[in-house]
Parts: sequence; structure tokens; C-alpha cells
Amino acid sequence: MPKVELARHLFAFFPHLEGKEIIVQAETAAGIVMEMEKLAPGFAFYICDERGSLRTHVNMFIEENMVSDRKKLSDHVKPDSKVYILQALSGG
Amino acid sequence: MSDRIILGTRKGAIFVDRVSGRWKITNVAHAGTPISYAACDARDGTIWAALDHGHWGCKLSRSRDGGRTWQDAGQIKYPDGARYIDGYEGQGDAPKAPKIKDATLGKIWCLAFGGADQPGRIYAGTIPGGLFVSNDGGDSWKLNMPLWNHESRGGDLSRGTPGQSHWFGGGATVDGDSAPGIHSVVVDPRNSKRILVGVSCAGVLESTDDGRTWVGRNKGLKATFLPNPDAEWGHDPHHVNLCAGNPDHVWQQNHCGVFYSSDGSKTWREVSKPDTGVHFGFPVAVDENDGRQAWLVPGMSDAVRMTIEGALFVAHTRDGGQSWQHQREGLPQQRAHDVVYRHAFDKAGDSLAFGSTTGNVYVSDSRGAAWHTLGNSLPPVYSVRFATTEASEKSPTGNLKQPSTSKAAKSGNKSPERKQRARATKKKAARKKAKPSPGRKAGGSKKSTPKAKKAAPKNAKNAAKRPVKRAAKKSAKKPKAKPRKR
Repeated sequence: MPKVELARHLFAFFPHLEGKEIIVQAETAAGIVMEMEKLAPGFAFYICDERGSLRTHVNMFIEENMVSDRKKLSDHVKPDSKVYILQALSGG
Repeated sequence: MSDRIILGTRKGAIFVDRVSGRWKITNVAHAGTPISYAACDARDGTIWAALDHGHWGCKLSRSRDGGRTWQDAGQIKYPDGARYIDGYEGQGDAPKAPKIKDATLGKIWCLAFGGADQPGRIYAGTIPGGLFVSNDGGDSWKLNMPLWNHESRGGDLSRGTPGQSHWFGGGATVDGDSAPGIHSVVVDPRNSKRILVGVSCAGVLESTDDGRTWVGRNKGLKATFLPNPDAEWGHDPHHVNLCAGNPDHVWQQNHCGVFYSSDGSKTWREVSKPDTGVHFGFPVAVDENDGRQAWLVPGMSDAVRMTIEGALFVAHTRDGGQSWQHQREGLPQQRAHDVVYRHAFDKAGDSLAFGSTTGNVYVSDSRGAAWHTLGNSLPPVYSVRFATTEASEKSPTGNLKQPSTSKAAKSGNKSPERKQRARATKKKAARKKAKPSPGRKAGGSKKSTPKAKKAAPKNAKNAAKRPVKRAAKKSAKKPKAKPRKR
């Protein structure tokens, strides 16, 4: 099952996730967000807007590849994938 | 008496409390996070903060223990199908097609609390222009659809051909986009079903039936940036405020001047006095009892957006804007670049406070007659709201408390003018005793010290009577004040 790594900053809002190995059952990036919402209610709205699109300043990587469908998060996730949810750098 | 000021700043919510008679910073909550608006609901003591997380979106946070601990409240989300017209596209003479966009939360621009008869009622004004309403103390929120689908913005976009939207421009969202938004929500304390909202850019809308229907209230406003300045829609009321004790007296600091209504916003009249510097600015504070009294922090112009000739002052009227007096004592009169945003000025009883984009915060306990500095190196200030520690410490499960304005009004009823005169006389006597201090004037860095006060009053008093330009010139001839230390 895919393993999820989070930006440290997110632990400020969801402290119970800190130090935990996060493994979820999902086949798409959207599925990862849904599973994370179950683990930490409110999480999805930190990562995505109310339409389910990835926030402008959030990045999601599957292994080393940035998700390409930021709107629907349909990118496929393999059972052994490592998924990273990180803040996007948009300045200097 | 209000003994707490809550600042919403670029780097957190800063609490300033009156401790042993002195204002002192006592707490910084959400350190590092931009707070677009923070305020205390005087009915139950809950403190609210609207957070603009750069990465994680806008969030609403609340504290029920006076600001010590915070929890996410129910989050504000536009419902499925909430769309708005984001301009028009088309070439030549062909009919222009509206660009329709799905609404997502760009900013929580303001919060307002329902009447004493509406426990749990809270309003949030947002970008893009939504009025969200909670009836359960912020656990859940609903978008007010009659306003969202108002004819002035094209009607209900889910039904047939959209009408013409007259909403445009507006404030910046957390992502840097821009959309018309709601920055002012004012509830009539006399009749909590009467609500006014201010929209930039569209104008003022009023509901008298608890938000079921809305009508435009823009008669008499001037939008000099439009081909027709008297247009029904497209106005830019930077901030709308009313007199709590006499809610037919409504004020707005508009992009195009200062406007006052004594008939509940049915008609507005311009009360700007550009020759005295009263024209452009963002906030307006209104006396809780006397609707003819208002305070502004004027700026140079929309093109410049800084103090007028480097001098910061508050303008006060007692006669519904027929005349304005400058209040300068204790405020920097040279090289000030402060801009005071629409929510960064508040009044409670005899106290007024404001904060600027340059991180300066000033408070007056004399109705603006004299000011002292709370800080010169704070983050840019987005909102300033008075509260009482008594209310802030109150458990939300406790009995409802009357809004702080009523408490303030109570204090104001004891002849505030008389109190002010008494204080001024006392200060004058103290100044006579003190030695002169030519090296430091009102613009110095330690305005609250006795030395600073010595030099300030003459300049301030004279300046209030003369036009801005002359005041600045005269001030420039005086001995140089030390540059402000930052």
C-alpha cells in the first residue's frame, strides 16, 4: 500500500500524525487525499480547495513525479508508491 | 471600558491588554500566519481569527479561552454549483460572453456578529463576494444565496442566460487573484434582521428581512472611475460603518470620497473636504451614540496611498462631515508612510486605535485628542478590534453578554466631551510644569513619553485649524525631529 510523506509544516495542524508511518489504501492521488481525510478530518481542505483541486501552493509527488492532473488528482498511484505532499515554493 | 485590543497582522494575532493602566502586548497567537481579520464576539467571548495560510488556504480559527488555545472552526466552503461571472470575453462588436468561474475561497475578508437576539449567528464576508452565515457559533456555514444570485451580479447562473454583472475589481486573494469581495457586514443593533454589506466593487446592499432579499443602496455616491459616476452599481465603498445607538446614521469611506447617510443609507451625501485632506482613505469609525461623529485616517490619494505630505493624522467630525478637525498629537508628523487599511481602525467609548501597513499602532483614550504609540516595529496590520478581557475570558457556554459597544456607550453617556476637556486641562497643566524638549516632536519615536508630549500639542492644535499644505510647511520649518527608529 502507498506510503505518504508530509511536509513538516502540516504537523502543526495535525500533530497526531507526527512521527507516524502513514500507509493508506488508494489507487489515485485523489484517493490518497480521501484516505488522509479519514485519518485527519479537515486535512483535505488544507491540501485541496472545495472543488477538490490541489491548492496553488501545494505540490504532490508520486515518487519523484509531480502529479499532472492538479484539478481532479486522477494520477495513478502504485501499491508500492511513495507519495509526498509538500508546500510548493513560488518565490525566491 | 475596553481593556483589550486584538490586532490581525501579517504575522499573527497580537493581543494588547490594558495592564495597570498601560497598554501592553500580552500574547501573539498564530505567530507567523497572516491574519486578515481578528475579533472577539462580545456576546460569548469567543475570539475569532481569519487565517490566510499562504500554502494551505484560508481557515477560520477560534479560541474559547481568551486566546490561549485555538481550534479550527467549521470551515467556509462555497457549495457545489456556486459560480460567478469573472469578466467578459469577445472580440469586436460581437456580443461578449461572460467568463464563468467556479467559486473557491480566496479570502475571509471580515467577520461580524449577529444581534443579541441571535445567539450563534456569525457572518463572514469573503472573496469572491460571498456572505457566509453561521447559526451555530461557527460550526457550520451557509452561503447566502439571495445575495450570491443577486441581479446586480447576473442573477442565478444556473438558470437560463446570465444577466449582466456589475461587480468587478476587488481585493486580492491569498493566491494573488482578484475578485469582487465583501469587506463590510454591519448588523443593525436595533433590528438584527437589517444587514448592510459593502462590496468592492459594486456598492452597498441592504437587507431588512434577515438576508432573504437585498436592494442596492448607492444613491448619491460618486464613482469617478466610471463613465457614469452616478451609476447604480460599480461603487467602491472601502468601508461601511454605522452608529450603534442610532443606526440610521451610516458612514462610508469610499474610494472616491467620504459619504454620510442620515436616513439609513437610502441616500448618501458626499462630505469630503479635499482641501483639508479628507477625501481618500480606507477605514471609518463612528461614535456609538452620536451618529454625526465619525473618525477617519485620511491618505493622500488612490494613486499614492500614503500619508498626506508625510504627516499622519486622524480626521474627526462632530457635525456630520460639515467640518473636520485634525487630531495629530502623538502621531508622526514627518516622513510617515503609513496606510491604514479598512479594518485597522476601531473605536470603543473614549478609546480609538489604529494600525498601519508599516507596523505602527497607535491608541487614544481621549477620543483622538492625543495618541500614544503601542508599537513601531509590528508586522503590517490588517485589523484592529477592541474587546474586553472579561468577554474574552468568558466561557461560550455562559450567559450572553451585551455587545461591547453598549458598554462603551454607557461610558460615553457620561459626557465624553466633558471628560476630554478635563483631561486636556490636566495635561496642559502638566506640560507647563515640564521643561521644553526641542529635540523631539510629535514625530519622534517615543511619543508616549512625557518629553514627546511636551513638544507635540502646539503643533497639533494649530495643524487642526489650518489646511494640510500649510500645516506641513510650518512643521517642516521647525527644528528637525529625529528620524523614527525602525
